[in-house]
Amino acid sequence: MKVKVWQKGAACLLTALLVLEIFLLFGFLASRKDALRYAMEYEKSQVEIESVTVRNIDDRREDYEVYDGRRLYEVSMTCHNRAAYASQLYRGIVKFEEKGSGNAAYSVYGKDLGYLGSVAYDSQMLPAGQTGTYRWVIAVDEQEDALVIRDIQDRFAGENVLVQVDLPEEAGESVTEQLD
Amino acid sequence: MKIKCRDCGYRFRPELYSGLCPRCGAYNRYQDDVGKALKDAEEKQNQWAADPISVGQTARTMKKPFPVLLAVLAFLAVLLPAVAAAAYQVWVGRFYETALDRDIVQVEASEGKLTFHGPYKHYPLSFTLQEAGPVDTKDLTLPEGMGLLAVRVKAYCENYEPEVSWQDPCLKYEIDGRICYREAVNYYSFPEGFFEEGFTNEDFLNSYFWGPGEEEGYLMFFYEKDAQNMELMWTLHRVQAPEYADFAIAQGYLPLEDILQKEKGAGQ
Repeated sequence: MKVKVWQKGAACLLTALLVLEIFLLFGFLASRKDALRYAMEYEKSQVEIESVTVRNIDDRREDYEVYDGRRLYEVSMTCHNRAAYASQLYRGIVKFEEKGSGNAAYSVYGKDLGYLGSVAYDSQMLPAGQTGTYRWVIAVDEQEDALVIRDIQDRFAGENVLVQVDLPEEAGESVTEQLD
Repeated sequence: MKIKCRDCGYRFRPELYSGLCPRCGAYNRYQDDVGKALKDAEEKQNQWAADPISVGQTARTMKKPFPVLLAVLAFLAVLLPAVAAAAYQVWVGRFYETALDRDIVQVEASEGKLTFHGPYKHYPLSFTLQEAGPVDTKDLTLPEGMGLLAVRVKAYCENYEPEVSWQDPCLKYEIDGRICYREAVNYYSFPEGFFEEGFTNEDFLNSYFWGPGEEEGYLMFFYEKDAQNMELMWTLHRVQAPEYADFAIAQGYLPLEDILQKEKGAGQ
């Protein structure tokens, strides 16, 4: 039986593909620790939000560095860390978004705070298996009426919204969203 | 096999008489084994010239030799990633099961001393409070209502256990009915000249101390000044193969209220 040229080409390509797959598989197995970290960070959230309270603190805007046209809010978020290791939400598990534009809301620090002031804000954490509350001060554009808190894994997907809270308009008002 | 003489018709075995008829002596052509082998070889040579691949194949593979090879290669090329992906899903699933919602042993302190000792920790590891109090932040600007707390702790462990480690402790406190946790601030977070001369990184508690012997040093935390029920909280980790992840196995709490009250009283 005579072998056709396309058959020889297909055989060569398939053999090369197989060799490449085996090569990648060994590479993957060699770096499975990194693969697990990736999986834990991006495929499944280790933190469950139990409740979120948003309080309008626009009457304290003199204490903060905030642009005109944005309102100030204090966000208190109570979470449970399901994982067997500590979690620092501010390092990127959760991000805030305005409802309309989809842009991130802005973290705001107090006026004249140096690096240590930022550290003081950011030193919040949640130990393994514990339930605790994080607190942030954020600035949101005035035309926005709700705040969406997303898992960072949605950076591209745009799904898996964790919680959406209406933004109170008057200073001193607060809204609490309780999750099951 | 006998043949018939072409002249006289006598039947004889040609291989015994080299083809010569024993009756009339006439020569008769015949095919012996050597001749047959030569003829077979000649046929095979002709066949090879026409189709070199099929020569030497068994009857079974001669029918579809190459398409079968292609199909096997294609099957393996598709099957391998599919099997690898399925195995990965099972593996990650198992990892989640072991990493999430694990039982973590909770340990309470006694008289200002927290001791981890049990099936999870063969050699006892203890932390003893030495002193605690707020630190003057001098001209540093902190967020409103926040302060800096320093705690001096002595750690002691009988012996080194390579598979069990502990993280820097965190500060746990209650404020307005909510529980907050804050991580320790390291020496290098502070600006140069903040500490008195002679106070260095060596004066901080070394979280890489896993025994044997004792280690003493300071821990520093930011906290809210209205906080209540302040506690230091340590988490012990165990490195577990084959996941190579540090899993929390025990957590211990060291209350600070008593020592803070005592320091406050002494200060007054």
